[in-house]
Amino acid sequence: MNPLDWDQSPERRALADVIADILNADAGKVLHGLCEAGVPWIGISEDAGGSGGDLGDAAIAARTLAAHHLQSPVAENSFVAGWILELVGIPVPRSLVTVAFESGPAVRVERTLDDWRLSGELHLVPFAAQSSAIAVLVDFDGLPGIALIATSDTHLDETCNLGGDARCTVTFHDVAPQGFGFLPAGMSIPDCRARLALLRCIQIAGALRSIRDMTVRYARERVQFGKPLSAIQSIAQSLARIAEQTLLIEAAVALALEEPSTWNCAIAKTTAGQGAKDATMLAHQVHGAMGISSEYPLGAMTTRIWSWLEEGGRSKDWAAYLGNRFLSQSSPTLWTTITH
Amino acid sequence: MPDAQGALRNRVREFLGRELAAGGFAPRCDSWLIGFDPAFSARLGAAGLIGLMLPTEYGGQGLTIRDRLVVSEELLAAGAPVAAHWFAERQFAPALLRLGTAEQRAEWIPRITRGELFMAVGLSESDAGSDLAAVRTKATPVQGGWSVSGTKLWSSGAHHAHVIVVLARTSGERHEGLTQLIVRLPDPSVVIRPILAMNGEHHFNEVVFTDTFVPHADVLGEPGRGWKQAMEELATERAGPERYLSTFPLLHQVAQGLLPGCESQAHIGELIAAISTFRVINMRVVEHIEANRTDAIDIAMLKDMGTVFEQRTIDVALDMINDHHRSQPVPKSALSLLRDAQYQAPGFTVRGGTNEVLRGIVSKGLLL
Repeated sequence: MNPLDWDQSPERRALADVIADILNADAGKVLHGLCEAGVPWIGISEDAGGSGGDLGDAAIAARTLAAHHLQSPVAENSFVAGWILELVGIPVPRSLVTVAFESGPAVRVERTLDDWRLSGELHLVPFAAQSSAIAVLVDFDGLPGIALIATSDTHLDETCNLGGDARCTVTFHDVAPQGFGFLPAGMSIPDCRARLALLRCIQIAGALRSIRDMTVRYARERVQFGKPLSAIQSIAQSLARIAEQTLLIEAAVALALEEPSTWNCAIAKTTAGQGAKDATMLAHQVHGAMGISSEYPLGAMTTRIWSWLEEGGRSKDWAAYLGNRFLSQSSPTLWTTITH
Repeated sequence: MPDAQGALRNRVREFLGRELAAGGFAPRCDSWLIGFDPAFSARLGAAGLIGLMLPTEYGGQGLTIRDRLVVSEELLAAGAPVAAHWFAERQFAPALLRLGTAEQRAEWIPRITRGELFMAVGLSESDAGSDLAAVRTKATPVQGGWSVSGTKLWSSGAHHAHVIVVLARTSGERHEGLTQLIVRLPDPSVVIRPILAMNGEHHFNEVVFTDTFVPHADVLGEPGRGWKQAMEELATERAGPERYLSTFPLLHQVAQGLLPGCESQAHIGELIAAISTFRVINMRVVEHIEANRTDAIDIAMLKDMGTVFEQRTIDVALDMINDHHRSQPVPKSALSLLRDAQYQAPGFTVRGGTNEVLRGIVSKGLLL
């Protein structure tokens, strides 16, 4: 099967349907249902306390959860935090763990006689108030590690991002972590952050596909000048450009899902940044004033995409990462780098 | 992407390495259009690197279109002069396999795989550019075949070609009643005049047919089905790495010698991301063609995005050259690659269907 068709297998479609059914239940039962079904631990091996399944399964889950505006770190848990905890060898809790990369000036890590103590401030932590613990990426004497901090040991300052998803500023002082470990040799904090970047790209790609379909529908139904908008050439060309950017980002996501190296995740986030802004603006342009209304779903999708573009590293930063890694080779040649 | 064709890729690289070491070619941008070198094509054919996906009975290697994709992208990235045989291998051979008679295949395909047969495309006319159904070149039935009269424009390499495949009206109107005919060149009734490009180079031609006789045996496919056949051919023509790698030799050259942390590093990252992603789409398109499913919409999207990207890369290259100036002189070869890319750039988004036409195909597909 072609990597671009990663979401097309019957198993993956069935998984998406199961999760969508849970999400469509009474609001009060959703989270319980997801946990019962093991959704927050998809992609984490059963040995490490997860639900099993692979990265593609975790991706289809993340996309489905995002489409339903779930306000809980279920995807962050399965796709990022659980993955790192398993790599480091910290047992994955059966409660929700979110993940924090955006530290303030510094998270201070101190070694005590038999434990660790952490103090610091974290920004834009996704769904911290809905989590039981926060996986914090830290640096101790130049060694990258991860600390699992109980949310109850922190002070939360709740806000939300542009797209309306809960984000917190988290402060903590002299806290003993529930777990602490160093990343495996050769692995860096950017390598972990790349996984969050990929998660955001999956969410962006999913939302863009919805925007594409919604915009095509609108252009077909809305009549102006005595004909549907879609009969106006400039509008039809805009529809094509939205579809193109959607395909491009989906392809970049597919590449990273097939081989989730930091390099490929960086490619995905770089690609998303170039196309998603244009596509959302074009979609609004086709919708005219309608897109701006809070009663119409386009605005919420657009602003969430813009937030996701900012999170997990911006496109420009990941592009610089790619370029820098390319130029750091002893005798870099562009083509062998691309086809490595 | 895991590279299932790694061994083949290495074979092409070894061939290109030997060629470069022996001064066999100088890399050029857009080499599939402006890099005409029959001797190079013959050497490539002798190395077994043309027509890999063609059946062994005709001198091919019975491999897949995916294998051809690997060879194509390696050649284009290196700026190798492949223009002589490019059109014949890319679209004439597949068209013959789809539509040709046993005799036609046996006559043409072995010469294509040897890199010895050059084919020109006879589609556009003065009043039929994007509106291809407006072609006025006529073929009228005569004893034993057809008589063709009319004028084709923009036929790349027709002045070197052994055949030109002409789309002509045999009956009907618009999309009905068009027929594809194989005209052998040279022919005293066919006059080929150069249309010089803006840099003065001769690649394009005006081809005038006056009562040119084409025997029944040289009709391609079915009379009257020419429109559908030409559209299929265009889809395969559009579905290649030549729609995003035309400026690659320039990018390769100017990216060398830059230092980590330089201003261009994010630009280079963007180039890497874009090309890597186009390759994913290209691979799926090719896999689907192999499974007898032509994704005309995906192909149109890839070509639209890829060619806009190609044009944008020239500014990126200029930025990188600027970056170079602070540390070291820019090699002369880079400047000549830049010149080529700049002259060729306006054509990127026009040839093989303008981007507006492509977006029209995409939006029609979306609105179905």
